[in-house]
Amino acid sequence: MSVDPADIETKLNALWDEQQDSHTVRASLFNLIAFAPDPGRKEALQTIVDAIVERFPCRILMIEQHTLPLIDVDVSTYYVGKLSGDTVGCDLITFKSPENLLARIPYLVTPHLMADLPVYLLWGDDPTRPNPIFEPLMKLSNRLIFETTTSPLKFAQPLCALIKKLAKPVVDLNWVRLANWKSLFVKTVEKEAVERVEISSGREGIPALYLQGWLASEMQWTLREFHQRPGQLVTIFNHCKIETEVTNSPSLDQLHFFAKGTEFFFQKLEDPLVVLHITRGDTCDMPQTFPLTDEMGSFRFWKDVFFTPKCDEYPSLLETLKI
Amino acid sequence: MNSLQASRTPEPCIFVIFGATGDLTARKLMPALYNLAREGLLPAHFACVGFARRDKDNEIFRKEMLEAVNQYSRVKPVDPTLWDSFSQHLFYHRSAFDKDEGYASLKTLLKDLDTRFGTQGNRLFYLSVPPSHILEIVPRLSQNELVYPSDHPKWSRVIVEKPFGNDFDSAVALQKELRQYLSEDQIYRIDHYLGKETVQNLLYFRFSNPIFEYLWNNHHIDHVQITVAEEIGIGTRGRLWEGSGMLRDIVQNHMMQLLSLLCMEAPVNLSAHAIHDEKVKVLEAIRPIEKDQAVRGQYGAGIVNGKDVDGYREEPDVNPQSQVETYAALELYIDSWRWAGVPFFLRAGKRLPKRATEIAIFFKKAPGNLLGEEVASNVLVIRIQPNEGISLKMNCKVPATNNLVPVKMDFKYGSYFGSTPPEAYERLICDCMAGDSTLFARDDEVLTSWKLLTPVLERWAQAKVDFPNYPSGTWGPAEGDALLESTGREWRLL
Repeated sequence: MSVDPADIETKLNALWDEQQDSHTVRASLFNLIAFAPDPGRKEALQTIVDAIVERFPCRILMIEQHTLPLIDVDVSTYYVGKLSGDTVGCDLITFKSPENLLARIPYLVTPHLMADLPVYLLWGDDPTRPNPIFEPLMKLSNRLIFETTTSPLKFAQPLCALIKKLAKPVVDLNWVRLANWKSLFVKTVEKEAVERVEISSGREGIPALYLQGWLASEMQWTLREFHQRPGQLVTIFNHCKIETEVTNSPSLDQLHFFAKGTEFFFQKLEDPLVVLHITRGDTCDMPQTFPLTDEMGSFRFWKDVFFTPKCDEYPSLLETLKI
Repeated sequence: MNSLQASRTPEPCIFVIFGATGDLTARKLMPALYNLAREGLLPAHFACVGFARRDKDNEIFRKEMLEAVNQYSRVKPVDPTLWDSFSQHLFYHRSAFDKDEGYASLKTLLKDLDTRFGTQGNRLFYLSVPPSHILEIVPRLSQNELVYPSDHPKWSRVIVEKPFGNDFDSAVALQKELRQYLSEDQIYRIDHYLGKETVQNLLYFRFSNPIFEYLWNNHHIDHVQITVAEEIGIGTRGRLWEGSGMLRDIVQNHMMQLLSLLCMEAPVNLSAHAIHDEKVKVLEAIRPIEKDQAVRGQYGAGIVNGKDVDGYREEPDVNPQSQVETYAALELYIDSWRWAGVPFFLRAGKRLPKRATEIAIFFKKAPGNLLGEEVASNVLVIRIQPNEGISLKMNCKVPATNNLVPVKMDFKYGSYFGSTPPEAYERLICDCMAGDSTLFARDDEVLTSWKLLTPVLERWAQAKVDFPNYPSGTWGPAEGDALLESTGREWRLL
């Protein structure tokens, strides 16, 4: 229901009071401020929010840039599951604002953050793009979460600067999605021996670039050249050439590592599995299958997003990708 | 004597309100009297006289008071039967405060009411007037024998509203003047914060829960934050505010009272005298405030509750170049065995993002780095208003991970006790009728507080600041944040 900003808490309390006898639990582990720059992006962001609250019920403060002439505030309860017979739900406060009034939004959000609980900013846009509400909201937040939609080669430099300035944990969902690929690689490939890599990746090659940025940072390779052709990215480091085929798939599909005559070929099968073929000269090992639990449906994924302490791995890989 | 635990029974008396046509009478005093009557807490022999300059009679006064109670009482609707009976005890007496004849006729009226209502000659005078009128009224009460010597079998008491003086010297002068006519036990300096259930609970909470009291010292507490935040501006109080400011209006009285209750040692008993003694010791132990330990601010235009609001200097009756502060923050140290080295950060501001008065006690962090990550402090929060309650922030392992997340245990008055707690004024008026001054400020508390803060006021008066320095709807000036940041801490997000 649309409400006057002065009545947000009263109306929310009234909504919960109405359900007092229906075994509902009003849960809240943290404050989640989510920003969508347009209604289209809101849909994608909503999927992420749904996945979050399913695991971690929280107070959601959803900000949607809209074409409405004035700011509209809406409150509702948001049911996320059952616990011992009780329905678990949380608060949802939605602020819809036209672009010219966006600067007013932090004033509306601030009074409704729940004290003592962490504040996470889920930014549904490129955080390096100027936006009047980013800085004031970030000032209130303990952690920035976003999802890259463009090549990290374009924003590595400004993002590095932003991370330094914020001095708070910064999490790109695309980076967290690679957690399982990284551990698979570490378990199976002798990274010092890698001479050439071929990757097949969706999402405009973002996962592939992140993976090679991480590898380069681990190996202290230096980026020498970068070429972009239709459907293909080529990055040349001082010790390794990496070719990426950009596909339409939603994630990383295939990884080929060539290391001292041995070929490691990871192929993503039906979720959530990856099969590894190792070829040494003329011989092939028996294929090995690994679970892939790094997607948004997993607890581990969201645990990494929200609770991993600030670490240098992500900024280091961005440094490697600076052009 | 066990004065905190239960008020003594209010004694028969006549309650005389000076400034009976003012805002406080309508919003607080009359609703409080009505609710005391409703709860059966008014003395059976009781009458109330409104004393003011405006021309009206008893019937008009009663009608206006009914409207006020209908609008401001915590319990609605007004019970018509009860009101009919209660209103028969209400009277209006017209006079200017500086006219002697008005007091002579008041004396006659009170004698008459004594006869009619059996109020036994006891008088309670509530001075709901600007400070400049106090010394017009009290001498005339004395000259007309409306106040008695303190050893007289009948009693007379005077409730004085804040501010009690404007700085240390003026408070001392006011005290000296009053003492020419009244003894200290006849002066009740009201601070409505002390009548709030949550404030009264501070002592109960501390001294009935050893698990906390054992930790209540510099061995375990890292620092304390006390916040009085209001979203409203100064509204129509421009003229009054220009003569006061946040340090005088909130910090000198309400916040210093909260601080002293929070930090005092256990009294030898619960008598008013014993409690006041311990509170004064805390105030006397506060180290003089250095220049860089006091920050002031003034709100500019901004946004509150989604609406554009004016800056302080644009408010009615405010000097467009005003240097008066609407925000004050202090870093205090109490040089006592218990509190040595513990910083106390106080902040009070108008036009902040939300209304909240609370005390947050930050305990020291877990030693070492056993859990491999920064562990947040435990924080005990005593919410004075709104959402009265107490919460404790703890660290908890996120299930199926090795990570920590802060969680909180939360006690809410409303959830446990259900009914609306009595208004502060109800308790305080009732206590005064019973002769219990525990929840009122004693002279030495007020003077010690002024002694501490007057040097800050003097420093501020000598140096101009580039106001406004915070937009309405934000948490105050950057200097306020820097006050804590310089010690490696930050204000708790409310």
